[in-house]
Amino acid sequence: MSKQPATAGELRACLAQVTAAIDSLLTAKTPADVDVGSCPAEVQPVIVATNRLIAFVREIQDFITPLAKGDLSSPLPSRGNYLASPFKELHSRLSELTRQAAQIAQGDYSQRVDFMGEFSAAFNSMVEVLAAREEELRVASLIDDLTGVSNRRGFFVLGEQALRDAERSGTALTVVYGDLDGMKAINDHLGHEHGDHALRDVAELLRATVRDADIVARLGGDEFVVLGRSTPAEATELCRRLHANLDAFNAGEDRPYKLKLSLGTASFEPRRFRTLEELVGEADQQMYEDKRGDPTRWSETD
Amino acid sequence: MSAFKTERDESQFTWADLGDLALGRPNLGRDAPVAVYRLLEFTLRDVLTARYGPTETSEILRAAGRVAGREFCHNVLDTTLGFDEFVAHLQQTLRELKIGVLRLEKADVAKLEFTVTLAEDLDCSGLPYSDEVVCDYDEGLIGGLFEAYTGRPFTVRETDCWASGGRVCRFDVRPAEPGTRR
Repeated sequence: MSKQPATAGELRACLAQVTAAIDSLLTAKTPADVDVGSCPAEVQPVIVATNRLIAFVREIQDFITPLAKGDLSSPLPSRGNYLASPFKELHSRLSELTRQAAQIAQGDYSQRVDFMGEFSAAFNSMVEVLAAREEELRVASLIDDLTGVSNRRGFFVLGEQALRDAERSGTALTVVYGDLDGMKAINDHLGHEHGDHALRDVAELLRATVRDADIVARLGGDEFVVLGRSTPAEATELCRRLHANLDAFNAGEDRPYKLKLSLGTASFEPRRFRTLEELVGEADQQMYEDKRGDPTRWSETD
Repeated sequence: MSAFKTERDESQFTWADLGDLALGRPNLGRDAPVAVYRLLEFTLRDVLTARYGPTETSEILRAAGRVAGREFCHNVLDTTLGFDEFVAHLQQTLRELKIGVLRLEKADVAKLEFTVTLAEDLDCSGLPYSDEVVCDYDEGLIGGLFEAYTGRPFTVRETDCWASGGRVCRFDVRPAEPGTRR
């Protein structure tokens, strides 16, 4: 026996449920499923499709509401939910962005973003500025503000590397330790401005005398060091040149002070020195010998 | 010397099997259109499916992908890098070779459990809707990469695919349970 066609009343009742469900969707409410069993067979495919749509929208709402608040931990909508695809893609991009930001926080400034439209350029620009500032800070932390040569920290950062290279390759390495004599007198009698000027003069003179690859540093106060790939004989020659340049400076410059450096040298010997501090300490000792000893020690006629 | 048609019980593939492209293609060069790659892949899949069925075909493609991932990792990538650097290196390489845009959606490095997505996937992006995940080869490839990098076997399963309505392919990557089929 064939089933009777649906009455107009049954159809109207069913369509009213569908209309109410769609109205709910359009006003961002979450409707209940339409009861398929209560509807005539003729319209059941429409009801099934409507319920599928409701399920998809419900899934999307459950996903994007926390996503809009930055919560990336909500379960992803089901695989066949086409409507959710753009939101899942956004979730993927935000997850990657979050991971990249965490990487940057750990100092990996190579991270770049190219999948977030205008935000990408702004983000990349921020990373570049961060990287540049960190580099500026790093350099600043290694440089002596007053003289422009390395400070103590910078000297030991660069010097440790040079020491390791010398150990590995067996090349010569020598520290020249210089102490500006009469610094206290310059400060006391001429003022600190002249004292600062004298320190800058020494730094400039050292840089002009040594090789580009040598490390020039002010360890503090009136104490300077030069570290370079020099043999003991080459270091002695360097000290002579330094004194010759000091003499030329003192003769030529119209300064209210004269520059005089006491110098000491120490060459790296793996069996004798284990650390850079020990090598610098030995050069420092030698410098004191110089201070107490023969003033013509480094002269050309010596 | 390579022997492509000798009987074998396990993979004998080596990177040298790809040949000297500069020598062999002095005029046409190293690159070919994506459609040509897919023509090979999907006709092969078609014939394999007709002969062995869809499940076995997926297994074959996954196994081939695993060999590719392993060899790719050993021959193209730097496996001495730390995990974060390795991921960045992998992302850049996959992009440069136009295999896809890899993103790491979740990572539990301690447990070696990851969710990765691949956008603009060489294998599937743009395929017609079929309500199936089809990137069996990619599953193997990703598994092979992780295996070669970590030295541990991995199970990789695709949970979203362009063919199933997604806009990125999404893969769950986790250490293989002992005795399970990868």
